[in-house]
Amino acid sequence: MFGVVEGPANRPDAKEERAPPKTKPRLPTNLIHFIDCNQGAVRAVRFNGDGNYCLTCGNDKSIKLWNPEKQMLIKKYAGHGYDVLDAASSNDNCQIASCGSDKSVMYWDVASGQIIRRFRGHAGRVNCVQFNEESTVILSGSVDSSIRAWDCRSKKGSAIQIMDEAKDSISSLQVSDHEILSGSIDGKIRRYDLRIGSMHSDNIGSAITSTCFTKDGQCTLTSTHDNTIRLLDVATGEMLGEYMGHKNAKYMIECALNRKDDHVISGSEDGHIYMWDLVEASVTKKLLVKRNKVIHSLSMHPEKDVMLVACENKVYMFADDFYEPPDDIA
Amino acid sequence: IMSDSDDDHPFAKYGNALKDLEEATSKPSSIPIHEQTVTDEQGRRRFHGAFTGGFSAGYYNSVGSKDGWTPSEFKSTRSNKTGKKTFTPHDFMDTEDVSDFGIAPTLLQAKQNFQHGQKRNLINERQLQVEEKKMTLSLGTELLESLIVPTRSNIGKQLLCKLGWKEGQGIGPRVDRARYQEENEDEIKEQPKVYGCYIPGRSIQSSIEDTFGQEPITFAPKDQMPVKIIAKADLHGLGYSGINPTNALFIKQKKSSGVEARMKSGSKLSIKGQAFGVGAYEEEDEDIYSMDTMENYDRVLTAEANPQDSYGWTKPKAIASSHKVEAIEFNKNEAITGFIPAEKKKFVERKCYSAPKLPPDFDCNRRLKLQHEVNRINEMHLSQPGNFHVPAAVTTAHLTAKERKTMLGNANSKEKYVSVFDFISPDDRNRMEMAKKKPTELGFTAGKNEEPEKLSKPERPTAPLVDPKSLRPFNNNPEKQRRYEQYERAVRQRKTDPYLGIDSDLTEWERNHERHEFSQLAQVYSHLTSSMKSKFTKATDEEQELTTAVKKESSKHVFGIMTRDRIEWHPDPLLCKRFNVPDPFPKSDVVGIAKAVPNFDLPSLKHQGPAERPILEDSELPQNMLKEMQKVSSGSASNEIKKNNDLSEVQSTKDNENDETAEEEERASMDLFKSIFAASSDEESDDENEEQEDDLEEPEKQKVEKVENLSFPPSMPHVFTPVNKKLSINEEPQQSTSDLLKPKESLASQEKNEEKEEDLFGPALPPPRKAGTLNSSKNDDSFSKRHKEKHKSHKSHKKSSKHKK
Repeated sequence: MFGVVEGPANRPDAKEERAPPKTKPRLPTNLIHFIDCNQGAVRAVRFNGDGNYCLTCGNDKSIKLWNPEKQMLIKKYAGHGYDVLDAASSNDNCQIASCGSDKSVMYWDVASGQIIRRFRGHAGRVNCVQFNEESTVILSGSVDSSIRAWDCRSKKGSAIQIMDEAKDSISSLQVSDHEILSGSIDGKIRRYDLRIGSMHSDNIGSAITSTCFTKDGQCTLTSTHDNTIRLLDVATGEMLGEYMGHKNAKYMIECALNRKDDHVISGSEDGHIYMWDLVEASVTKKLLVKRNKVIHSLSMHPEKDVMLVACENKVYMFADDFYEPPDDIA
Repeated sequence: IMSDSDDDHPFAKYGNALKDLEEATSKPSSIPIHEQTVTDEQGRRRFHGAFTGGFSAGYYNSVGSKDGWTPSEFKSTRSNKTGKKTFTPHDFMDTEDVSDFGIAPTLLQAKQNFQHGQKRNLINERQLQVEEKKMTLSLGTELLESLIVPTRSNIGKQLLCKLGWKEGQGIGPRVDRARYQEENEDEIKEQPKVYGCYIPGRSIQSSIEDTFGQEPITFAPKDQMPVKIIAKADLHGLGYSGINPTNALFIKQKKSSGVEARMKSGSKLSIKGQAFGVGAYEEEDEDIYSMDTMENYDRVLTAEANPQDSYGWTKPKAIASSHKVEAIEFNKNEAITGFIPAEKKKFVERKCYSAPKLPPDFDCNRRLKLQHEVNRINEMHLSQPGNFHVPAAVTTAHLTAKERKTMLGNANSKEKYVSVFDFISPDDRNRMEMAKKKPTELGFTAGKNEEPEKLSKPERPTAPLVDPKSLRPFNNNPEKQRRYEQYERAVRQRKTDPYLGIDSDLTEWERNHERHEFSQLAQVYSHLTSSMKSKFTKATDEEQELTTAVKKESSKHVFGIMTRDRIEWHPDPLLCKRFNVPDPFPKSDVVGIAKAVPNFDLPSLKHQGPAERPILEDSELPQNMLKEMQKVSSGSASNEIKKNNDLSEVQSTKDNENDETAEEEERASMDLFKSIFAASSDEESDDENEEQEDDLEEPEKQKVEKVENLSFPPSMPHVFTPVNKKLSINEEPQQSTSDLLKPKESLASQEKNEEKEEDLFGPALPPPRKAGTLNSSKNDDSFSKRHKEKHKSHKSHKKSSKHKK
């Protein structure tokens, strides 16, 4: 169905497969450049709160802070004992939370690069980490099938609360102002509602690799190991959409929604990035990043149509047609 | 060499013997002081007597010989004529003078010729100093700087010299002529005017060409005066320099005493000079009679009317002109040294964003909004009604810290400063008062009893505790169970002394023991639950998952009610605080999911088995009632319902599905329990219900016994011995509730209570059977009773034997 155009070995070639119909949606389809992070395999790439910078979590136990548009390395944060698996920046961009295979969650000061706090307690490696809305609590999901809430304000080393309802490791976390959404390998999405005081769990059946809210918080997007992404209604748990075509059966592949919430974007194990129309559930774009390599991590810019994608040791930056590079480069 | 025979020593001597020390040292001492002389290095005598020449004179000097000076001879031959002989100071010096400490030491020194352009350097320095002088008045340092000239040029300069650089040249690659002219254009223009005449058509530039011809000549780049940055050491403003004394003091503008007049034609006519006595060409005398008025001094800080009046050096000259503001822009070159005037408005103005437009219905008070939300939720009956109370802003101002603390829900947190007497119950305190008054009468003081307790304060268990509903170690003693639950709750609330608030009419001794017992139990249970929780997963959950998986298989794309579970979950109060969300369950002390905790309450659960169920269903009671009935049937629930009113309400609101799951969970935990405390009862019989009942009770007892064995010495009273007669009174409400179900049984239980009371002394009895637990109403009463008694006697026998051990 899709003619694959292969670029030269080192230069990936982003090629549009099909012309979009009528009004062109603003999708990050143009490869602007890539950054060789030089920190082994990039485990995760994350935009910061305002989207001006990004964090990459490396295999070499370090986190790096970049200006992705200028391809400029700003700072390196070293302190983890094993590879770093996830990172998040606080809402004021002054702190970073990170987690890794060394079972610890770390709380960093951005400017000085010092570790403010190191939270230990997880029994296994920690897969994902998130701040709450006010960046006062760090939530971390681990292979030990628990979510732990750590207090950034107090010096107490123990977690505020441990949510160990999951039967298998937690793969994905997202936090809204009063909800904690978690996806687990046991095939269930668990949503802890602090306001009502209840836990909703939706059984999907297959191992969940990534889950996130839509911007309005009415739906959840969940990527599972049966090569499917599902859009579920938060209130009822009913399925609203199903997106297939990509390959996701082995690795922790992340999915996301674009800025306007009208497209679903996901990485894939065949080296492409897939974009579906949210309503029609049809593949609108398929971008080749690197053939037969896994596109596992992706992060969307909070305000612009810019996307960062991690593949092997590089981070690729995609943007829409209206993207203007920063002045300094031009 | 052989040893001397004279010596007694049998030693052989080798080598030459050293001189005796005495001989060497004795010599100088033998010379008297007045005969000692001081000599120089060459052994010549330096000091003579006062009358023999004084200090090192005459003959001993190198100047001449023993006879003194030898005058130089004048020799001049035809072939070798004597020229003018010149003498240097060294010719008249002794050898000592030339030595290291003499007046002209001869050291190896570089001659001035070889020192790099010392003179030129000095000139440069002078230039710099002139510049500096404009800015600083600190003459002292300047003088010093001019005085102290480094003798050696720095290494950078030396290297440059070796590279071919010469003083006065600029640094950089040599440029060709065209370039040189370009750069030096302004300098060339500034060349002084030439009076006289040039050869027509010949410019200065061509003159350069002339001098060097057409050869390709390169020029060294122009030298540049280095910008000298002077550290600012004073506290004056930037660019400030003090009053220029020459301007301010001496060249005062004098008001001319002359006369000004105007001619008819309009031209000015001014007559200068003093009118009398002084000629026009003579200098004016100083006006000795004039008064120095205050007008001459600037006493007011105003915008200067006449900029000329300021004698400060601060002001750049341009500003002195009337166009004050434009001066800086206009006269760019005249900025304060070290500063470069801005070319344009280079700085981008900071962007000012207008405030975001708020929607008309925006409510800035989030708290209040949340309050509405809470109310809404409460109205919807989605959850248990929480009485979240937001105090008005006005009232909070007057609250004390403690009051605020309680409002914020921190009341339970550990209070640091508690008096020792706070630990003691009011009764005991009264007794202590009594004891103070009449110590002899009472014989002992309550305080003494109290003290060991404090020492053996129960350690606060850190592991999550079990749901109080599930933990019923004193099922057969509801009053004690109630107390235990109170204790349990207190522990969970992290009170310093959990046993303190529990009211009971027990004696002091009994209370002590119960306290100890409870603390032990709580520890053991907490340990059990935490360790077990980590080791086991629920069997039912897997089943559930299987069923849902099957369901999913059948209808693959259906998600919704079938796949959704809703479980009550209690967030930690602190987490709520951090999330800025009101606590949905402000009163509960459970954190997380209470239901998920493994259940230890076995016997009571078993009675919800198949035998009983149909009856309740036949009665067609509403769901809530049914639930309550089940609780009642399970023993101490009546008390518990009162206590945990909120919890039970929450349960009652749950739908059938949840109930089912809950039951399943409970059953699962029983399986688990069985697997741990495998019953080793010999008297298993499948026929009778009674037997089953006992079998199930058996493991629990065993378990409790285990607990006992862990903690209590054998001399301690049994945990399950009925404590007091009064208990039966306390049981009355329970009876009344159980009457609803089985009046006969309650009667039976009363009988049993009586029996117990009779047996108070003697060997400890097994735990008394509770009224509610006897649900096997269908069976023949008398038979069952007999049967039970049989069992009981059997058990009591066992236990008594144990105690004897």
